[in-house]
Amino acid sequence: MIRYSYILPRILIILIVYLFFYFLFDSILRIALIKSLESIFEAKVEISKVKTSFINPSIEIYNLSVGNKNDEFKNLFEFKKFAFSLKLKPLFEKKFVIENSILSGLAFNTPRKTSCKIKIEKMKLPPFMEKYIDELKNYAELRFDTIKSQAVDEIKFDFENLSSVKRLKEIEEKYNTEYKNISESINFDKYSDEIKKIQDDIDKVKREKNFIKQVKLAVEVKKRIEKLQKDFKNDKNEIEKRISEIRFYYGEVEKAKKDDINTISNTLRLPKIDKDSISKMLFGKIVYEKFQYYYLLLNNAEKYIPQNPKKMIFEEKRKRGRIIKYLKKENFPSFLLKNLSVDGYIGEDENKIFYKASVKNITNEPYLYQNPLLMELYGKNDKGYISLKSDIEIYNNKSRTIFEFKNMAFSGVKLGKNNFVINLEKGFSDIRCEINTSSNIVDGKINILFHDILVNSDVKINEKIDNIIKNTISSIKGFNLSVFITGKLKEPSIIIESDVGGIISESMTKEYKKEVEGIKKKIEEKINVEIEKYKKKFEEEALKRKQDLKEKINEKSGDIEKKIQDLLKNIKI
Amino acid sequence: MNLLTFLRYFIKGLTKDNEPKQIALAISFGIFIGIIPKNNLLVHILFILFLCFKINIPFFIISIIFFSLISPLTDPLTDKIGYFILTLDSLKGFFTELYNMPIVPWTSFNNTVVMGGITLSIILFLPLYFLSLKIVSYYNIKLKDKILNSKIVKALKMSFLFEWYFKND
Repeated sequence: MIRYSYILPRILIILIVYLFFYFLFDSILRIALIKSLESIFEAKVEISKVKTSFINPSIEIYNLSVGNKNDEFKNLFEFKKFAFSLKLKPLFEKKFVIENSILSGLAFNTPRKTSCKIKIEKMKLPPFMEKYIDELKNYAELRFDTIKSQAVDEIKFDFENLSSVKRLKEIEEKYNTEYKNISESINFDKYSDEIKKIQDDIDKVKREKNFIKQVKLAVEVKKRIEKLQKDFKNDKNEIEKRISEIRFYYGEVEKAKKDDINTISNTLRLPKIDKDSISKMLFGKIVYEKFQYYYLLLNNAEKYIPQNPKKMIFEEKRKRGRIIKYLKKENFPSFLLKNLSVDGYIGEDENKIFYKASVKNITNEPYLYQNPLLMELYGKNDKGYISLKSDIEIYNNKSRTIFEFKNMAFSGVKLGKNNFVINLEKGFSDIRCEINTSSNIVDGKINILFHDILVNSDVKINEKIDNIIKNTISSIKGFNLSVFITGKLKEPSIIIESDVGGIISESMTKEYKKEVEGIKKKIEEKINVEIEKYKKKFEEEALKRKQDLKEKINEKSGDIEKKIQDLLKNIKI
Repeated sequence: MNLLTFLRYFIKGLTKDNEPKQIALAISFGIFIGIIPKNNLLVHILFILFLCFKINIPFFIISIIFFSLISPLTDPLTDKIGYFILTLDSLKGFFTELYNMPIVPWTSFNNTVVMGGITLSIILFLPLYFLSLKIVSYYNIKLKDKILNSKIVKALKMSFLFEWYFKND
C-alpha cells in the first residue's frame, strides 16, 4: 500500500538540501554578511569564516574587520570571534532569542595592509546636514580670506563729507546768524527817538511860567531821562555780553571727529576674530564629519528599531474561521539578545586599554520585552580608563548615555582646513560625553580636554596673522572643546565652543588692537590738520567780526551817552 | 527524453492505481484538505502523508478541488463544530499544551474552521469511502462499456493524442 516511488525522490531531495546547507550555506551567509556590512559602512569588510549549526542553532563569525572609509589603511573595528546560539523552541515561532553571546577581540582603529575603499552609492543627506556642511565650508574658506589690513596712506576720505566738518559749518552758520542778530541789535534808534521826545519836553518845561508846575514837570522828565539812561545801559551791557559770549562749540566738533575716526576705521576691513567663529572653523569639520558618520549609522540602525515601541501584538486576521487563543507560557519577541559579552582593546602599543563590555536586552519588540537596553563597558591601564554606561528604554522612548575616557592618547589630528590648519601631533584627551534623549528631543554635551599636547600650525593668510597664530598655538599646552547637541533628534542644533578659539581671538585682537589704535591715531592727525586749517580761518574771521561789533557798539553808544548827559545838564533847574 | 515525453510519462503515472478502492480512498482523503483553509502546515503534512499511500492521484486532486469549491457552504458548520471542540473545558489543557509547543501552532489547529473541517472529515471519511466505492463499482459494471463505446470516446481514440499517449518509447 505504501508508494515508494513517491517517498524515495523526496528523501533524496531532503538529502540534497542537507548537503547544500552543510557545505554551501556558510559560504553564502558569509558573502551576504560582507555585502550588507559593506553597504552600511561604505568600506571593505572581511570575514575569514562563518560557521552555522542547525541541530543546536548557532552562528560563529571569525576574524571580521570593517574598513574605515575615511582612512583606507585603517579598520574601523575588527574582532576575532562572535558566537551566539539561538533558543530552539522560539525559533519554531520565527523568533530569534539569544540567551548569551560572546564577542571577543574587539579592537578599534587598527591598521590594515590593503586599501578598504569600495564604490558605494552615497546615501542622500537630510537638508539640515547639508546646511551644516555648507556652513562648515564657509567657515573654513572665507573667514580668514577677508583679513587684510590696509596701509594708512592708502586711506582716502572726502574732507567735505566728514561729520566734524559738517559740524564746523553748522557752527559757522550759527555764528553768522548770531553776528547778524547782534549787529542788528546795535541800532539804538529807539533811544534817539526818546531823547528827541525828552528834549522837546525839556523845552516845554523851560517855557512853563508856573514855578511849581515847572518843578513838577522837571522832576518827571528827569525820571524819564534816568530810566532811559538805565535802559540804555542794560541794553548795551546785554549786547556786550552776547558779543563776549560768542564762542566755538569745539566740544561738539570733537565728538563729531571721534565718530569720523571710527567710521573711517571701520572701512579698513579688519578681521572678524570672535572666538566662536574660530572654534567653529577649527573643529567644525571634524565635529560635523563625525556627526554625519554617526547620523548615517544611526539611520541604518533605525531600520531595525520598531517605529512604535508600544504597538500591541499583531492582530490575527483570518478570512475563514476564528482564532482561539490560549495562554502563552513564554511570549518572546521575534528578536531578543539577552546578553552579549564583549572584550577587546582600544588604542595602540603602550596606550592599549583592554576592556570588558556587555550589552543586554536587545529586542525589536520592546512591548513584549520591556526591559531597557543596557550597555556597560569598562577598561583601564596605568594611564587612564574608559567607561560607558547606557540605559535605553525603547518602550518609554527615553535614553541616558554617559561615556568617559581618561587620558586617551591620540596622534596626527588635523584641525581646520585649507589655509588655516592646526596639527595636534600627539597628546592626550579626557572625554566626557553625556547624552539624554526623551521622545524626539535630544540634550547632549560632549566635553573634551586636550592636554600634554605637541602642536604646530600651518597658516597661510598673511605674514602678520600667520605669525600671531603660530606664536599663540606653539604656546598652547592644552585646551578644551565642548560640543552641545540640543533640540529635535532628527534636526538637532550643534554648538561648538573651545577656549582655543578664545586664546587665538584674544591674541589676535590684542595685536590688532595696537594696529587699529595706530591707524586711528593717524586718521585723527589727518582730520586734525584739516580741521585746524578750517578753525584758524574761522577764528580769524570771528575775531575780526567781534572787533567790528565792539567798535560799532562803542560808536553808537558814545553818541547816545553824550545826548543823555546833555539832557541831564539841560534839565537842571 | 524531451519535455512532451516526460509529460506523457507523468500523466501515465498519475493515471495508475485506478482500482475502485484506490479511487474511493483518494476521494475520501481529498475532503480532509478540501474543506479546510490551505495556509497552514497541516495541509502540507496531510498532502504529503496521503500521497505516500497508493491512491489515485487525479481523483485525489479532483476531490480536493471539489471540496474546496463547496467549502464556503460548509464553513458555517465547520466553524461551529471547531468552536465547540476548541472551547471544551476538558480539552483546554491539552490545546494549551499544543499552543505552547513548537511547530504545532503552525498547523492552525486553533482555527475553528480547521478543527471543525478535520472533525467533519473524520466523521465523513468512512461514509464517503463506501459511497465512492459503490459509485465506482456501479460505473465499472453499468457505465464503463457504454462510455468507452460512445462516439466521443471513439473519436478521441482515433485522434493523434490517443496514439501519442499509448506510444512505446
